[in-house]
Amino acid sequence: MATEGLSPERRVATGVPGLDRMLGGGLVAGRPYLVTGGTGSGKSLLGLQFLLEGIRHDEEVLLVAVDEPPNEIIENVRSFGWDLSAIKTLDANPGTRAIRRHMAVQEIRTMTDLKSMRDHSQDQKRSSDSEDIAIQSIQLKLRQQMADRPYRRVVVDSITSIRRFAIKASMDPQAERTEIQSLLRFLSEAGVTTLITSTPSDPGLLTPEEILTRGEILLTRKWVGDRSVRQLKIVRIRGCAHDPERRPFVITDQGILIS
Amino acid sequence: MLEGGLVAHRPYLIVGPSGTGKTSLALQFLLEGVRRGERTLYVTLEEPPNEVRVNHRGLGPELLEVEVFDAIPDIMRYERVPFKDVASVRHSLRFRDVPLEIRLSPELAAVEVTMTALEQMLRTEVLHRSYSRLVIDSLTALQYFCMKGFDPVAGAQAFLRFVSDLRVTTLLTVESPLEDVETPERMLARGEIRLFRWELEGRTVRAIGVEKFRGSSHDVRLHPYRIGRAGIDVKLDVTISRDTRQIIETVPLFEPAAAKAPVPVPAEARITPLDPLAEEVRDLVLAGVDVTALRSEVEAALESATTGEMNRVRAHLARANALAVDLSGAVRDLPLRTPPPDPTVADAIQRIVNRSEAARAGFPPTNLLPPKLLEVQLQWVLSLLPVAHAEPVPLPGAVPEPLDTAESVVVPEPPAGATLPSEGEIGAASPGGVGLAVDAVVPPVIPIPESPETTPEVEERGAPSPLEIFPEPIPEPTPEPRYATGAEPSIGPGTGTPILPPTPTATDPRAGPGTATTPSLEPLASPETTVAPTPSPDRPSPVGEIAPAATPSEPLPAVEKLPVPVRSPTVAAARPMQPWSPPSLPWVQPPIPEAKTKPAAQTSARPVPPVSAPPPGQPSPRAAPPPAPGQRPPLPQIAGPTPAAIAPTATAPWAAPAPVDRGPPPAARVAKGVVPAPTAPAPKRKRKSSSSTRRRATAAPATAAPAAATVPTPLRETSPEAGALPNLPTEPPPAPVTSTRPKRRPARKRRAPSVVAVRPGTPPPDSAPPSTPEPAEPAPFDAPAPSSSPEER
Repeated sequence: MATEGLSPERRVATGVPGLDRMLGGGLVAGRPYLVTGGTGSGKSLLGLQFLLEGIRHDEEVLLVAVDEPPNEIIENVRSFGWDLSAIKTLDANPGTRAIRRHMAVQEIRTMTDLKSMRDHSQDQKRSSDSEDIAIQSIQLKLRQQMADRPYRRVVVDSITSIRRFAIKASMDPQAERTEIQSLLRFLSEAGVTTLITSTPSDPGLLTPEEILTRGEILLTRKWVGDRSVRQLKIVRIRGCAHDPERRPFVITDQGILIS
Repeated sequence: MLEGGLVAHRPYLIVGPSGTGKTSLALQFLLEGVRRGERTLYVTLEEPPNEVRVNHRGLGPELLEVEVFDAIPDIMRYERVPFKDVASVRHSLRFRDVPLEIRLSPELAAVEVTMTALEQMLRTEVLHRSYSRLVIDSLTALQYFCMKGFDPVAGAQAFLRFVSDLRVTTLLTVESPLEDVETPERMLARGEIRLFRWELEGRTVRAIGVEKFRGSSHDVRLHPYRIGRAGIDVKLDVTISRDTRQIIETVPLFEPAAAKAPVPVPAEARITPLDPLAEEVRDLVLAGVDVTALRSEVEAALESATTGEMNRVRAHLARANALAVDLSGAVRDLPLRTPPPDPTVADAIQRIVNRSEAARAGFPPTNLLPPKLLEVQLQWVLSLLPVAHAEPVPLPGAVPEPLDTAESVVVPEPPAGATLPSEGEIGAASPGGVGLAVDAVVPPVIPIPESPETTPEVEERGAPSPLEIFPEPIPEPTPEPRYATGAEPSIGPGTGTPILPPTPTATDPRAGPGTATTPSLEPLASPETTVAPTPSPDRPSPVGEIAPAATPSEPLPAVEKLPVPVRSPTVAAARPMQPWSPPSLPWVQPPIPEAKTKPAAQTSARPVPPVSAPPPGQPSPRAAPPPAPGQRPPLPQIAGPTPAAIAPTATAPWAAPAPVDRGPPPAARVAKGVVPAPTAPAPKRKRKSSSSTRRRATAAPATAAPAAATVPTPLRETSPEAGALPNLPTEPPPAPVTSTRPKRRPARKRRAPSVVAVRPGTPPPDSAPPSTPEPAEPAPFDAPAPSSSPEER
């Protein structure tokens, strides 16, 4: 098909100028990437900046919110003055876990529809039924949506929570791996550039997303005296030359600024 | 690192955390197969083929010929769709035919990839297309995604077993975030290549190591590597410590690789702030300048670094830098009218001059490393320094010699039997294995101080002493090797006659060329040079050839020209064979080239003395053996500028050799500061120094150094030759037996006359010195040389 004169792959700006420089222009389009870091290290923020950058380019973007309910996310960035209203959100935040195990668990795909951030009221979800999520349900939901909305950017925040909360997945690790692979494959085939956030796993444990994503960005925070020092590092990235060093960054109302 | 490559038809693992270049390494393995016309198959389970194609396009166009099998499962439909077996649906493609867009899962069916399906596919593919190289990327993905219903461990075992039954050389990549996890696949594979990635002080360090390699010896050390567009690039001349993870400079393990290693090592070091100093030091040493004072400063800095007194380290380093600037300034001011014969030395001097012009303002500010790293760095610089002292000569020849040294050390040591060889080895060793040979280096240092101290200050008065020192050391190494080789003996006795005839012929051309080429020929050349002394300007084409022969790198060319094909082979054979000395006779005739080259050098040297004898030198040489060495060194330097001077220089080396090792050995001993030689050598030195002083009053140290370098070079060459070049063989032969030397010498002298007759009288002075040294030197050599070497060590 194509000859040797391969055109350089399309790059996608991350919304963090410093990171784009470290990547030599941005992430390669259409591939899944992993953002790892402890709690409070800035993963979600990086994801939001990534989505807002997409909005700036008039792209369809989607946030799969598992960690935090969308209304909290809106509040959290209010101090920055960011407008998240254009970001489509899939609220995958599981409802209050039913105490009785035998209670019917409904998957979110049957319960929730995609809503824009502006549609999220201040209220928490009030569903009487316990909802649960499964990776396959996210894939199926996205598939429905993809038909009429060609998403270019998707952020899954966070896959660790999905794994932790998804009852099905926790029951069969083999199936979980396959489902994650299928989801990522699905996103790749759809040409979506995906950021998946994850809290660092047990160092000896290899997670499927670590194997399958094409790159990994590590955010760390440590305390020096009473100051927190944040650092960003590109652990690996396929197919593009990058800056392998740890770079300090700060969080301002402009988001993540890499010095 | 694998000592030749993987054993065919076996499975091997590439283990490492993600992002360390496993896929690149595996693809490079396949590309090599493509280049050899083999069929290769890449089975991908992680990265879609289209992305592999794009990501690794930098590896080269051969990638397009690699066949790829896409073993990535389709999207799961979570619906009732028929599952198809991967083996029945997909086939391997060449990367050339892989679309740039990702393959889309079919709507109506999903392909499931299971281990059994994969095995079936591989069996058919391998059967029908006879692949000779196979890559499974990655085994981990196979375990994770394709083993439904299998226990991953048992599955991996079964799969590895299956792969080894395929009888195809296979690489399997394994993701392993931790270093110490023992996984079943690691137990089963026939070998494991491990990739490491550490963060050290904020920097990412990558290292590669062969953890396991059944059925072959291998390099067990870790080496750093880089991932570039063209794949993985391993730096074999640098080692990373497994526990401290610090970079250690090392000498190449294997002689062949080592041959060209010396140069790389310095280059590697440029990463560090001490590199400017190290470079200067290296060149100063090459130029034969006395760096004793420099060394003591560096030593002091190292001492302070060990105790963590960084301010004192800075002070000492500043002083060391200042000294280096001064020394290079002295070199710049040397009255060199003609470039030194040895190209290595000439280059070093050129660099020094260039730098001293630019660096008058001082060296760039030194950003000190943390103490631990700094210590390593300082030790490295120190190792450069000692080498210089101990073996000024070796340094000039450093490029080739190190290797030789290494080789000689490894194998030759025994042959060295004679004291001389041992010395030569030591000298060589120190240069080559700077980092490793610290101990060896240190000893020399001690002796050095004596002479070195004088050197710095003594430009005028000291000049002689330093010069002496250098020259002496220089001669030692060279002669020693030769003796050790025992080449001389062979030449003297059997070869003698035969050699003589050839030698003359060879000599004439060589001499002429050698002189001209001087640099490369160092050992041989020097003798030749003596013959064709002044010719340096003339630089006969032959010389050039000869010179190469002398030098490790260049030897081949030389061999080709003068020796003709025959010589080169002989030479090759000769190197390994110190024993050859006995066979020398047969050797000489057929291999004449080698024999000629080396012998020629020797012979020429021998002849030269005679030649010189006829004119002025005959009496003087013998009578004033000591002066000869001294004069020679100075002469060479001077010679560089003036033809006559050149002749002397050349002669000096030769003479030393020609006189047989004895002459040089004493000098070497003296230079090294060996105790034994003192009495006899001292006088010689003085005389030499005086002579040298006269000529080089101004730039005594620097000049002397160059001269010494030149002279040494020859010696070194000889030694190296034994190891690396054809010349070496000749030299080696002589080295073996001390007893032979005397005989040989006479023979040489006799021969020399004949040779001399052929050539002009220019060499007389030179020849004279050589001859002189011979008589006196012999005795010292045998006894002192050995003693000195042990002592130093």
